[in-house]
Amino acid sequence: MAQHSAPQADLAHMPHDHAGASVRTYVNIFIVLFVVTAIEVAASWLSDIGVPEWGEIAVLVLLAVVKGILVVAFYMHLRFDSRWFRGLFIAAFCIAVFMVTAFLLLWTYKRTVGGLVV
Amino acid sequence: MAQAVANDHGEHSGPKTHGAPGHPPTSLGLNNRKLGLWTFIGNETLFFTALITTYLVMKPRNIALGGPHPQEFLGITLTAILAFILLMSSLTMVLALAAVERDDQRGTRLWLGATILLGLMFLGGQAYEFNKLWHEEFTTLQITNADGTTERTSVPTHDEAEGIAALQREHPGAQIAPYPNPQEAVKPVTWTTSLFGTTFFTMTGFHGTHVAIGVVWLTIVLIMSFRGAISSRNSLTVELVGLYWHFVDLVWVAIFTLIYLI
Repeated sequence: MAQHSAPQADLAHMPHDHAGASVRTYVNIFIVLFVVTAIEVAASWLSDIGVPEWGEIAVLVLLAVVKGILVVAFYMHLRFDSRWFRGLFIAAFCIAVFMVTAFLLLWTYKRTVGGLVV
Repeated sequence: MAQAVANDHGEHSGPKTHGAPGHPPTSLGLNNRKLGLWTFIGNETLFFTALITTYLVMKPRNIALGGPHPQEFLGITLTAILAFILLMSSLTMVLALAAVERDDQRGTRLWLGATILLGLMFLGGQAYEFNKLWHEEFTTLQITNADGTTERTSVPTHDEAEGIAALQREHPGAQIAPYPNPQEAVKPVTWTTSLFGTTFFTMTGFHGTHVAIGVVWLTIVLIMSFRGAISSRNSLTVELVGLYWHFVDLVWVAIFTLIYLI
């Protein structure tokens, strides 16, 4: 049987596994996710009642971001876990947002300047 | 000084640490396996972003080329149900983790099994959707606007009347007629017949593959649980598959909004 010890200082710095999240919290988060998804589906018809398309897109993206934050923070425990994991994910997410924005702007710009339909 | 004792499987029976089992604590105090999975998730975030970006960039080009408009045939009802199934599976997954952390073996197996079942339901729904899209026939139409300009578009053949009515609402005063050149008719949406088909099936296909891998991984963990190899001492095994599963759910949150709703 292997045996080893860990210094007290090391253990003190080790983040505790998802302290603060309980079964009740998980169920409550699910209810919120379910409601937000229902609102999303309803919001997809906003443009049919005269809301500008950009408004509908903004609402849908905002709702998706809310859902994403809830999943990552509570179900993936980033709210309670090490800041290193948080930093890793947030860095990737920021690059992702930059990538989507840059490519969409780039292709729209190219299409406009060239006067091309496609 | 705290004592952390590792058993024959390298599992700690002492205070819960983030060091790798059987090894001294790491310099960052992070578990190597968990750090590896989070790095993988960061990588996967960019992978799916690339696929989603490609779809979004190609979407207007697909429509401009007369390809089918996604909103005309992508069913929100089915995908909303699929979204609900994945959200439900995220709940059961996290309940499985909560159960293993309190050494509730029955609960662990119950919730892991429920997660696998919901994952299989999602895959079944996606297979149904793919099959439906693959065999959907389209009627190609020409829109002659009031200013004399023409556009090519298409509507699902089985829902042609409603599709034409929607086009007339979008293009007041325009004439809508069958497209004069049958050789340029819009083909069914497969992987190779349109920009939409290529980008859509690649993106959602990769997501479905990830779900399938998750189901296999969960099944392995469930089998380990039945063999008594899963307990609160190595709950990280369940936590890791959970992180992967929640990420797959997260990707669907993005796909559902950006592809199906917008």
